Amino acid sequence: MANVTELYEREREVSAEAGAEHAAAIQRFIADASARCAYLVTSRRDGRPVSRPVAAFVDGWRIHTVTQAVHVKTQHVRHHPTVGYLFVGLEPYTTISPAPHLQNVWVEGHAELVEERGELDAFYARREQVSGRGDPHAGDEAWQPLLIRVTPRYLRAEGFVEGLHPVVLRDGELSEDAPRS
Amino acid sequence: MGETYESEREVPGADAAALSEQIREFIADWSGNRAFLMTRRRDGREIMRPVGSFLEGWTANTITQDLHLKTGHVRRDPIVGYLWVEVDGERYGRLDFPRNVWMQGVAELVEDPTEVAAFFERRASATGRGDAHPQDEGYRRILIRTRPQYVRAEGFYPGEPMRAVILREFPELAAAR
Repeated sequence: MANVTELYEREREVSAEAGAEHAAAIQRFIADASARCAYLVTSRRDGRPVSRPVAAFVDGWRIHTVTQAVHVKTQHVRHHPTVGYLFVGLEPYTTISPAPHLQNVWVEGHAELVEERGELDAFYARREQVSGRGDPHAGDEAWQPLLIRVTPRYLRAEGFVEGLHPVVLRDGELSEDAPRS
Repeated sequence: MGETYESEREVPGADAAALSEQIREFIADWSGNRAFLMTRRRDGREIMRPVGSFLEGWTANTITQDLHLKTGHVRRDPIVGYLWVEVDGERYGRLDFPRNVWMQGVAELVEDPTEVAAFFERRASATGRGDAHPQDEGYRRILIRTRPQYVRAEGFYPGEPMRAVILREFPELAAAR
């Protein structure tokens, strides 16, 4: 049986109360596409995971990525709707360890594929309203969009409290009714 | 499918092979990137967190301790993934992202203290960083050693950086088997 060491203590999750205080800042971080990059992890039919960089539009706690039927990630989501996003900040900061740190947020959730044109149009309208970016492929008949819409169940964030302590938010704290910015 | 799909297509295998050493050097440079390790819970749901990583050939190594969740995850399910993201590098493509490499592999836990100590010696010799906590006797050091099955890199293909460079063969590992 191992001792609980100082090393472990300094990486321990913050309390739920402390985590809740940082929820709004974390939501703003993942919603700000200019401050971070995003990677989507999906699973192959044999269960092996694969990650790739994606564009992600965050509305409340829901995360959206536009795809096409031909993309591998679309097939993955169809077979296996549990997915994850890793958001990584673009500005390094230093801590007690020698390696550079970047703010980062892992979100695991349930993905659905939105294929109905009316819903896609509503998504583009909403994105345009929030970010100024509507449908960049409007009028391109070769472009056959689908939308991956992810409802989060678990979130782990680092770089939002002092030191290496992660903030963890779970189901209820990630609902659309949960407090945020 | 259109222009977007074409601009993101996997590069030819020969081009990928020609870039493999550059990609390996990129992920081996621990001061120029940040590593994240993905493991899976008992129910199969993934979780990722930042970790330290040290590369030997194509084998990725991360030190953990037995009470960390990731150690239990790897013990039950050896399929893991690493993502390396460049820090302060040039950006590429429409998304203006830093270069990045995903590695999916099979992990083993090295728990023999002699083997772990030998790892620290090799790391110290290569980087100057041995056991980061030499005074701390309170925890048992365990090494997560991952051999890759699949590598996907973006930002490396000259002129078309959004095209994915994919490696599925790792000759050094095949020779070691």
